[in-house]
Amino acid sequence: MIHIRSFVLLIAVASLPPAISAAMSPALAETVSFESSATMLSESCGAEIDANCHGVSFDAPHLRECLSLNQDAVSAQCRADYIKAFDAIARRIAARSAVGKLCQREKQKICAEAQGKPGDTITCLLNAPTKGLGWGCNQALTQAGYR
Amino acid sequence: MAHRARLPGLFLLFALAIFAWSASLVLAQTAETTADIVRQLKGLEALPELDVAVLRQQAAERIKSRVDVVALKRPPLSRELNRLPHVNLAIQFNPDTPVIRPESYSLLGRIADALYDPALMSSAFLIIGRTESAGKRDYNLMLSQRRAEAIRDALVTTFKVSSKRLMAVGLGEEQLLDAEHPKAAVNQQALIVTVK
Repeated sequence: MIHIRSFVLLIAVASLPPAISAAMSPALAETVSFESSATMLSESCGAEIDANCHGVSFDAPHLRECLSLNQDAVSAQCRADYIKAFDAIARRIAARSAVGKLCQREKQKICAEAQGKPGDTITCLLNAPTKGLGWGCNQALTQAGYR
Repeated sequence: MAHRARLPGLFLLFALAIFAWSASLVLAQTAETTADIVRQLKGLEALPELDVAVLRQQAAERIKSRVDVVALKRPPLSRELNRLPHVNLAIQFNPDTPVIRPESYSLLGRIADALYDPALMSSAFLIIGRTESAGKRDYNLMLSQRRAEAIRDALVTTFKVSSKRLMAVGLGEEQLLDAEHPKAAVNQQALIVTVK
C-alpha cells in the first residue's frame, strides 16, 4: 500500500510543470543564497575569468559560455565550481518562482489582503501558522530560502 | 579617594559608549550583509517626482554649459536622491570599462538577495553610476551610464530580477559622494535608490 502511494506521488510530481517539480525535487531541497553562489564563482574562477574572459561582465549566459569555451585553459576547481554556481543560482530562481504557484490556494484563502503585492504576500505566508499552509506551500517557502 | 577610584571606570564606560555609537553609525552606512541593504532600502514614504530622462539631460546640460566647473564642493545634481532610501555600493569595474570585476560578484549576489527580500519585493529601484573627478566630465558621465547599465544587466540576466523594477542612470561626477574630496575613490561607488 505504501509503495503504491509513493509511486502515485512520484508520478504526480513528475507530471507537474518543470518549475514546480524542480522546486519539489529532493535533489533541490535546499537552495543557497545568490551571494553564496556568486562567491563560489568568484573565488574559484576569478583569475580564470580575468585571464580568459576579457570584456565579459557578470552576465550568466555570456560568462558561462566563455568558461565553457575555455575549458582547457581553466583549472579543474573552476571547471567544477562554475557549473555548480550557475546551477545553484538557477535552482534558487526556480524555487522562488515556484512559491507563487505552489501557494496559490493559500494566497487566495489567507493572504487576500496583500492584494497581489508579491512582498506583502510572501510576508503574509511567512507570518501564517505553518499548520494553516499546505505541504507543498510550506516546502516551497523553505526551498526558496524564505525560512 | 573612593571618588577618584571610580573616575577611570566612568571614563572607560563613556569611551566605550562613544565607540559603540560611532561603530553603529559606520555599520548603518555599510552593505556588509543582505540585511544591511534591505534595512537601508526599505521605508520609502512617498513616491518621488523623479524623471530619469530629465536627470540624464540635466547632467549632460550641466557639463555642456560648464556650470560648477570646479569639482571641489560641487553640489549634487539632485538633492532628492540623497533624501530617498539608498545604499552606496563599492562595486569594482575593470579600468575605463563597464566590466564588473570578479571580486564584486559576491556583492552583486547580495544585492540580488536583498531585492528578493519580501520587504523590498514590491519596490522599484534606480541604479546610479558615479565616478570620481578625474579626466573629462562628459567621458565620466558616459562611463557611469554604462556601469549603471552593467549592474542592472547583471541583476536581470544572472539573477532574473524583473527589469521592470530596475532603472539605470549614470551621473558621472555630478553626484559626488564626497564633494570635499572629489578625486577620492569613494566617489566611484554606485548608488541604489528606492523610487517606488
